[in-house]
Amino acid sequence: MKEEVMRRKTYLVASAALIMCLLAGCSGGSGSSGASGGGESGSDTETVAAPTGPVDKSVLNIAGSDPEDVAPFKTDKGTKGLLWSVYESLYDLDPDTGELCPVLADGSRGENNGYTIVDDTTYEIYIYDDIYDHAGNHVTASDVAFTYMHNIEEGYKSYYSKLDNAYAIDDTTVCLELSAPIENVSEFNTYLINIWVYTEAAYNASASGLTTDACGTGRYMLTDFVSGASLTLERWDDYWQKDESLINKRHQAYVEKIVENFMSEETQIVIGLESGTIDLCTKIATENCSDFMEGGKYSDQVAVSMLADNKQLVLTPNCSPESPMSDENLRLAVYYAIDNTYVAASLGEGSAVPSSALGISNGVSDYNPAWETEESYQTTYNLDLAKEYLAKSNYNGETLTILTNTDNNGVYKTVALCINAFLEEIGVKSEIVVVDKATAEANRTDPSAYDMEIGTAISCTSSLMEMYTFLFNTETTSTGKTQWFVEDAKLQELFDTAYRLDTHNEDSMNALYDYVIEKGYAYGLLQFNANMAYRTDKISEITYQGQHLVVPGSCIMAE
Amino acid sequence: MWKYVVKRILWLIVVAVGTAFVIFTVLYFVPGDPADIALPTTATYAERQAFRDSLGLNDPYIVQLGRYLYDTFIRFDLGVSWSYNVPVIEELMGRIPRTIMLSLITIIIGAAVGIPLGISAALHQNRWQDHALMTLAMVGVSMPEFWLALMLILLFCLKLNVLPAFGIGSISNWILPVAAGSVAGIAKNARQMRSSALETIRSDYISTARAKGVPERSVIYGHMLPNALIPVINILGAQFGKSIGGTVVLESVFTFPGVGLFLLNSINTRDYPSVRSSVLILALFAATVMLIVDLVYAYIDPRIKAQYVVSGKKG
Repeated sequence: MKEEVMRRKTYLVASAALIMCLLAGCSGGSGSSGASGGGESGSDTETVAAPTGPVDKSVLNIAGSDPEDVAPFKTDKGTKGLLWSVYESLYDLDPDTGELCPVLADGSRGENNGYTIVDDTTYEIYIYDDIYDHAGNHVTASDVAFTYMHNIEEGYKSYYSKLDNAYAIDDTTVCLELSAPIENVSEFNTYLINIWVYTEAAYNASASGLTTDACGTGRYMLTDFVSGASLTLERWDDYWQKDESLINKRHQAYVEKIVENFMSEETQIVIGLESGTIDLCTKIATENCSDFMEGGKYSDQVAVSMLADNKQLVLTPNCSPESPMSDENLRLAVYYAIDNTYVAASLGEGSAVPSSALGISNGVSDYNPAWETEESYQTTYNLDLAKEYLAKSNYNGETLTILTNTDNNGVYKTVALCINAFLEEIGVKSEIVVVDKATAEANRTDPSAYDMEIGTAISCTSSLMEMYTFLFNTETTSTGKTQWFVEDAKLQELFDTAYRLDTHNEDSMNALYDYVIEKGYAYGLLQFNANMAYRTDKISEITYQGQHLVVPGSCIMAE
Repeated sequence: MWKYVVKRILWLIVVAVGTAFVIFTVLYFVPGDPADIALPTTATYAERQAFRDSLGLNDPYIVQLGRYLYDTFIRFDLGVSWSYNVPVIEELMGRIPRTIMLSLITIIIGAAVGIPLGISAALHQNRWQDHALMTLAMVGVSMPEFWLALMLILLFCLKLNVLPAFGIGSISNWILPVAAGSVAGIAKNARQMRSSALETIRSDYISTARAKGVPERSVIYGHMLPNALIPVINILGAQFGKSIGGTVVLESVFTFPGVGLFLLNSINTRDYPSVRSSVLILALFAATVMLIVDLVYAYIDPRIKAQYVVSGKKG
């Protein structure tokens, strides 16, 4: 009996000790490891010395996301960023000036630096006569025409919706015939920049139709692609462009080999950076960067570059008659009651930057920095003003529904909670409804399901009009209203003016912006930080393809 | 016996058609539009509709279902992945061997280590060996797989720097995923083996064997083990059947390009052909594995074989 009691006591003590050990191991202590680091910098932590021995600077290992395929379509797909080193387009944006800069196009010909506008619907583009792809095929105008028409055949008509025909006039002149004039900057960029040129011969020679193998004209060749695992590029030393003065810094190739590992788990990326198996990661959450910040354990080996991502989290009101938010005064009351500086801070130090304007401020054309100084709800948090607007509104104490979703690791819900608290300050009742990210679209189309939405971080790749198109273009729905049920003839008129290429200018953008803010049709809350981390024993300077897309091969390697 | 086997194989067809019908219907009603995911945000409503038309998504339910069943079971065409732009079967054929290999190795280790541990615990019932092993087994069963995977990565990749943390390039890439996946299997098999061994060891025929002077080793391995193994085989079979789609956690942590990760990505991107085909193949795989398990049962236990023969005759 006594033995039995002793045995049970021993068993209980051992179990308790084991549970304590497990709990200690499960805790997310900020200094315990870089993998689960908290928000504080490791200022009291001893730095880990860099590994001794030679560093192989001929290979760059980067952590990225699975592109799913390497087909030369959907060039705006973020996970295909590395393919910008394999394929080239007719034009690119100059990294320093943001101006259109010819790549495959021959800028010495034509009326416009490589192209001629024959009439409203006809463009002639001139290419170099000595372009070759990785397989040695001579790239001619007929290949450029093939690229356009093949994209449409493959189902990407929406990218080139106005293209009726593309054909070669001669070996170096391609003609684009459109069904209607190009009316906006985004479209223009799509036709000239966002088209990866490949030869018909390469496509026909590929068993997979260039889906799992690639053949472009860029500085790097795709030498290996394991679906779901990795992608390997090797420098192409026989690059067709021999005139160095015509190669801008985004088309340089300083490293021999680039290996991109598709890693979805951030802890893996952090460990990779710490152990030296990963040299560069373009997006890593702030809470995982503590060991790389100044004073952190690995701060001598890994540098972090904090940049605002090209996505803005926007608060969008349901402007249908079924919702109280169709009342302009209520919208303004809600916006003035929100302190987006506090909201950004609540997400953790360095995670987000509060926005002072509706739009993405970095590396995107059409953004006007002057908007950040204009007096509006974007720049002002004023509870008294909020209450004034509330008093003028028709708000009768209804509970407003804030719709958000589970995307972005619960960040949107945190933002919604902050807004819920702010609205209480002015006496507006609200409730938060969190839906699965997959059902967010379906809920948005139901005007009775919500009153305002915090569910989308809207992105731009080159022009702010991409974002405004998503927010204010009524053609994105079948209802004749915007996605959030705005039906405003003046808004549509201003949008169309800013949208069309011939009337797109600073004035039309300002007019659209001012009207949107005046009416409170959207509130740009914050931009998330997309931290870039890289090993300083390998890389000394990062080269960007604008808007936070890194061109790994063009990064300057460390001495 | 053969009649029983044939009957079970015919039931596989029913399982396949039933699974196809259910998964198609579920996906039909799941919210989310593939056009929204595939096209840029600036795409107009008309462009989205055109995209949906090109994929046949605007056709009535019955038309889409009929087309899907015809393509799958008559033409044996599992479709082209909307995300990966390759035939689904091609993508799966690249990934299934990896996942099967990972699962197989994990299960073999789980059985090879767990079964002897369970036997040892049973033979030393209520002694310190039993308590220690069962405590460890409880820890192993309770431990989250992803946590164990991350701890192993921290230890072996970061601290000791002896093993790679990701990829599939060499044998060393497989060590940590296998280790992380084996622990739960070892623990479950040890517990189950102990339980069924204890039940068997109390049987009359074991006492009779001992009374006859049969060496203990022969009693354990010759008489007790075959009977005690039956429930364990069932568990191993079920583990293997589930494992082909159940390794998504390990695949995600170790960047292991297997079926689980493919299915997860396909669901997120509303890649209907990939989801349907993957689920169908997983269901067939699981059903086939269970058939094999039942046949192994019959081989081990003649009583069960006799039952199959009787049911085969009746069927």
